[in-house]
Amino acid sequence: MEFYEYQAMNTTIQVAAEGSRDKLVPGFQEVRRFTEDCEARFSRFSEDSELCQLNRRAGSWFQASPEMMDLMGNALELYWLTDGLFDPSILEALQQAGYDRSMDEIKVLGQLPSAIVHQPAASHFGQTRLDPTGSVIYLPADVQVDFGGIAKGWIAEKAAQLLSDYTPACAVSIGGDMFFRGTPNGETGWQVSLEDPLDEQNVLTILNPGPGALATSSVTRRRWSQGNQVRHHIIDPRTGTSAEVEWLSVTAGALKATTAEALAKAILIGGSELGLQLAEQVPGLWFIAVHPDGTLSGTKNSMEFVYEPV
Amino acid sequence: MRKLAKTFLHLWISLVSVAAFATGWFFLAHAEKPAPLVDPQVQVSSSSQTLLEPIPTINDLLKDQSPTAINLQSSNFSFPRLRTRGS
Repeated sequence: MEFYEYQAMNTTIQVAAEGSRDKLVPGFQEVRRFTEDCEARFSRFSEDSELCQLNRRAGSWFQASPEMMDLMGNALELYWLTDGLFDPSILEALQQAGYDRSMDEIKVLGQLPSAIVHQPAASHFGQTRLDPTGSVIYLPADVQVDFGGIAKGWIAEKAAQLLSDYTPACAVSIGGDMFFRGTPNGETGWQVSLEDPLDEQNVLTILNPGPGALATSSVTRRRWSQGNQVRHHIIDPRTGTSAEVEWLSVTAGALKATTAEALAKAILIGGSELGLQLAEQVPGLWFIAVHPDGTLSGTKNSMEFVYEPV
Repeated sequence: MRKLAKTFLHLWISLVSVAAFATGWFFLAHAEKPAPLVDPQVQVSSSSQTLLEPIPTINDLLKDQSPTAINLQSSNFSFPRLRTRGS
């Protein structure tokens, strides 16, 4: 197994593939080029990105790339599937909660001043319209989109697709949002450490997923203080503030990376009842939740994906 | 006479339109509402926790192994390089 790691999208990108290094190097380079192109396209921190252009054109039709059309289509589908609990248009709420600059800058600033009360927008993401024939998107006038994790998942899946031209088995992980194609030689799945949300040096268990996607959503990675409140970046679209959750993190496996990422977040916000409902409804979905005391629980089928050392 | 018939026709069409709208509105307003996927008022009760299965941690799994396997942990066992965590 060959590994290739680099930094992009403010996170670590890990690529793993079966095969000889000299045959894989062009594939690794292609993956890197692709992820860098996608970062330039989907970043909300770069004024020239296609995402920022789309946000600026909210209220009118926007000529979009096939990549933007595909990702937006996925996002809309998941918005409706979760009844709005997955919502990529919570950018304003995130900024009001104090996440209006990079996490590194927030850490330097320390406690942020109290926020003004969140005013929900008159429009919502569900009113976004796509016209695939003209490749155009209509974003409602007061809706601003930040794809965040769902873009990472989408990019990981497409990158793994590219790499599969060079290898029968590969994995691409973008900050822990992963997509697997094939399985390593002689193995039934890929071994993945599930990090303790409270201590990244600590591993809670080892997962063994097969081909498909894996994503984790957590309330412990990006936290800060605002007034006398502790905030995190998982916003509950129903309240417009950091979600009150029963778990520290949710790791979800699914057939598609966008599904794993969006549903991990929605289940973390919505809790066990929603999680079980979605697990029945969405083929291939399973999830494991980390409780505040470090214990784990999950769907019945999630046991199949826990690696048992022999 | 023709004018009277025309007025009567206009009146008739208006009345029928209003009646049809009111009937439609009445039936739609009283129809059974589709159940939402997520009820925003729903509070996750602690009993719903029991709906999920307990999943063993790596420590639980290694405790269950034979002494040989525990030796494996101390000598060769290493955690996979791929790691998942919240983004």
